[in-house]
Amino acid sequence: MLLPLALAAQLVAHDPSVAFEKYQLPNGLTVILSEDHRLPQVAVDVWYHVGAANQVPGKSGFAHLFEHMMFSGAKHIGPAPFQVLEGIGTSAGAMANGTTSEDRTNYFEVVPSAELPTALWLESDRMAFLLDTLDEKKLNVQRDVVSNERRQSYENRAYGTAELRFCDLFYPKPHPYYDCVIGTIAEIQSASMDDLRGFFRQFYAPNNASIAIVGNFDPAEAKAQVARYFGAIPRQPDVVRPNVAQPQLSGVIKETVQDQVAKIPQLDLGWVGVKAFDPDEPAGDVLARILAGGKASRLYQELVQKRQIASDVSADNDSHLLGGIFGIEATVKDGHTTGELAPIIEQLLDAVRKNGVTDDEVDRAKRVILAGKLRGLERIGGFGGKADLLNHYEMYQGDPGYLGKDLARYRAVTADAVKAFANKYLLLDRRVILDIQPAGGGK
Amino acid sequence: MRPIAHLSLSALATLAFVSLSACAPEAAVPPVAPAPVIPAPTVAPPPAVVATTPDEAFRAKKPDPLLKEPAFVPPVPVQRRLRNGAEVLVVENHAVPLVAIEIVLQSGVDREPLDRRGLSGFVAEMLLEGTRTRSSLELEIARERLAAQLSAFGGLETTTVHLNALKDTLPDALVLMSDVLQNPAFKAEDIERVRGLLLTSLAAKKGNPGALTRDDFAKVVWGDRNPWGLPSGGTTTTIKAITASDLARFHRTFFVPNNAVITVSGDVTADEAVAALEKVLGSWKKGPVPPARPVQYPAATPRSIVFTDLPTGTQSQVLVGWRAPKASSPEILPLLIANNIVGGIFTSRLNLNLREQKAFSYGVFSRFGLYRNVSTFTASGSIVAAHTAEAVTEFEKELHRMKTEPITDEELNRAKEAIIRSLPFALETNDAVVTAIAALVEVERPLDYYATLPERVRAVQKADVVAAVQKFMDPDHWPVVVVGPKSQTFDGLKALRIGEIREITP
Repeated sequence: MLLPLALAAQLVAHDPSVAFEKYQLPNGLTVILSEDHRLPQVAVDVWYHVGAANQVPGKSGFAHLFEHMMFSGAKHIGPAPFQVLEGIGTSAGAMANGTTSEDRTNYFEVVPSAELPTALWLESDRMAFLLDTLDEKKLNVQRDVVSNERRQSYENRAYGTAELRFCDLFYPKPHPYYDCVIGTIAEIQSASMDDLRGFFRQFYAPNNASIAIVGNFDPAEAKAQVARYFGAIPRQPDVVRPNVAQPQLSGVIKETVQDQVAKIPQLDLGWVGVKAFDPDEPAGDVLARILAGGKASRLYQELVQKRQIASDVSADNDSHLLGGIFGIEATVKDGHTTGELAPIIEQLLDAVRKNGVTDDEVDRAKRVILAGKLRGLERIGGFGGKADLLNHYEMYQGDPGYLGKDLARYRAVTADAVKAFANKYLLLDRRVILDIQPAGGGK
Repeated sequence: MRPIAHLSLSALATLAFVSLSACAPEAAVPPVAPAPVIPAPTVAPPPAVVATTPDEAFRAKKPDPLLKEPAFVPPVPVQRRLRNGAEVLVVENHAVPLVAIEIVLQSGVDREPLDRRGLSGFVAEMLLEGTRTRSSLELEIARERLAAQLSAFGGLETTTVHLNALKDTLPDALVLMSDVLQNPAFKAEDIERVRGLLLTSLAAKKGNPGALTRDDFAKVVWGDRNPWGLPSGGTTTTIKAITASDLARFHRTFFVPNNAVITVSGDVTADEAVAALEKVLGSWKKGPVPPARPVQYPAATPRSIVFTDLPTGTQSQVLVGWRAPKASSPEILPLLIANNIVGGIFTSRLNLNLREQKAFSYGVFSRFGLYRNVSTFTASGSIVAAHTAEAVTEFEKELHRMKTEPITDEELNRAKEAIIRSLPFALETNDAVVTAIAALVEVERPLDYYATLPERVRAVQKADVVAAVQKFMDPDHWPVVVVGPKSQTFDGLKALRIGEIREITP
């Protein structure tokens, strides 16, 4: 069952690739077309290069609140984009949605092939004519919906509170990632119509966006339709991409977080990590897997399997335009304490810093990561399908066809690089430790 | 962090037709690190005067669809049988060099003794914890080398082992899958370790409003003489009572080829799939499977609000629902269309009312949980705690409105298109196909179900939907389940005069 070493991390005979064509309209809109004729549907995915990264102090959560306004209608499509989409059988949720992250905001829909013009009509209308129908009433409703989202996704969810605290400790004000992407309810509620208008004019311009069209379409037809709907939208002044240095920790921050919802204590550890596509990023991803990805990982084996003091453990090398966090989360096993976990985790990290990791561990981690990228190519759109992949590489690398290079940078990770990452970033004297305790004292 | 989505995916994750103080952090140790100093982000001021897009006539209305639309050919599996009797259903898909395989035993929670609730899930957990010849660590290392995904999980009337493997190493991955399926070791030390993890999940569930709501609903509709009515995953008492021989007996009895459906989708032909399966499952022996008990549930009782106090929540979870006809019943198709009108999609009546108009919630949805003998219908959402009682009234109003106010042509069209048009999307990946095909067998639908679905949906008339709704929808007799902070909600709920408020402590 052992594969020959020569094949290490070479999962399939030929690397997967996604054929595409990229061009720009005179107004600066980047268009990426990729044909895939398996199914009678087409994915349209618009990425605006605006996210929490572009927020200013006092306006936390604004990029995401704005995303909600893009679902409140525009001049020609009427007050309810989802009504248009569900009218052609594209259900909101997995098939059509919008998402906001640290660095970008996207709007996507998977529509029947024949309805490609409708998707373009809808997306161009809200790019060009959003402000025509935006009013105070719509803003009031969405301020409340977004506040409810914060309640549902963070306040009323176990460990959500600590997640928010993590952002604040790693990205203190005035860093734009402060308060994560969701923002505080007070600042969400303070958003005004003038804020919305200014934000739209500044960031929702064709030259600050890319559109990926993936699926069953005729390229000549698609190009004509894109030109028709987007060609006349005027270019706006270029957006200066934010470039803020990642804040550094100058010591150990240890806090206890009282969680109103969770019943089982958890220990969250975090270090300043790397920005997206930093040369060290792949080694960090491999390290996260070796430490706590799956049941064979070092922390799982020691904490869950052998000592049986934890019920679960995970690690994540989270990277964005303006910073990254390497995090470890360990949930206790009922009846045990976070105090038992901390020293053992430290011992295991120390072993990696001193002795590194094995070639076999690196090889297995790479296989799992590379196969994950292959599995991502099964879908044309939705969350994380090919349309997102092409836009992602376009935004961060200026090359929708970066997949081959991306696979290569993971394949190149060595055990030495993983050890070096641990020594460079997982510093004993510069880290955040959150001890999450059930506020009601548990069960 | 993952990006945050405009609307919750979890609420919509299951495809109806497939059946598918916050915190005041206290410093334990005073922070020794001063806040790092960083420069304020530089953001250019918004442009004062902005050029606008000229309005043009072609923007005025929704464009017509393009003339040519390629046809969708929904997957109809090729049906085979292994020599030991196991049914094999194969869908070829050569898009990506991957293969998904699901082995679904047609027994789950429904076969658990009442005092062993949680047994089938416990068995599923144990499958990946070691076989007679491989420790759990060895299994996991082998799995990672193959870059395969292998998992096992329990359901209400099935237990499933799922594999997603690279085409090139499928034979090796199947060896692991087969070993996990046939030869779990059930070693005492592993049982005790997993028992500890299961007990931890039960404790954690007390902080999960959604899970508590589902438990309360199950208790009301199935009662305490049906394992479906007991808390999902069991109770501390039942989990502690489960012995090694309980686990082995459940496995021996139900993990037999004559109780299995094997579904395959991916870069493989039916012949290749059957040959590969025969090789690893050839020695898997048939066994007698005791007949299933009829599904038990209590007779209708006076209407009540079932309430669980979650004192620290800022929202309440509200659910209204009842038992529904079995999946293979002819009434289900018009009911699925009705569901899309009332709460199955974003532009449904419930969500437009409670999210987009009242702003009580981030999203309210309804769904059918479709099963072999009897199904469920539920409408639910997370509601700002202070508006809990008002929200209950709106839930009831919308369910009633389905019976009293006409369905518009636009609503009907949207509801039908949602089913027809999402079919290609829902069946795009190998993992989705194996699960969807296995579900057909589970709930006794024909294998060409997806192929004929568009035509059958188009044939449903408004009168069919109205008739099905009139017969089924009965909110005046359905229980209301609320999990939320009692101090903020109880007075309002009492004032609704819906019936007795029964408090359940998890």
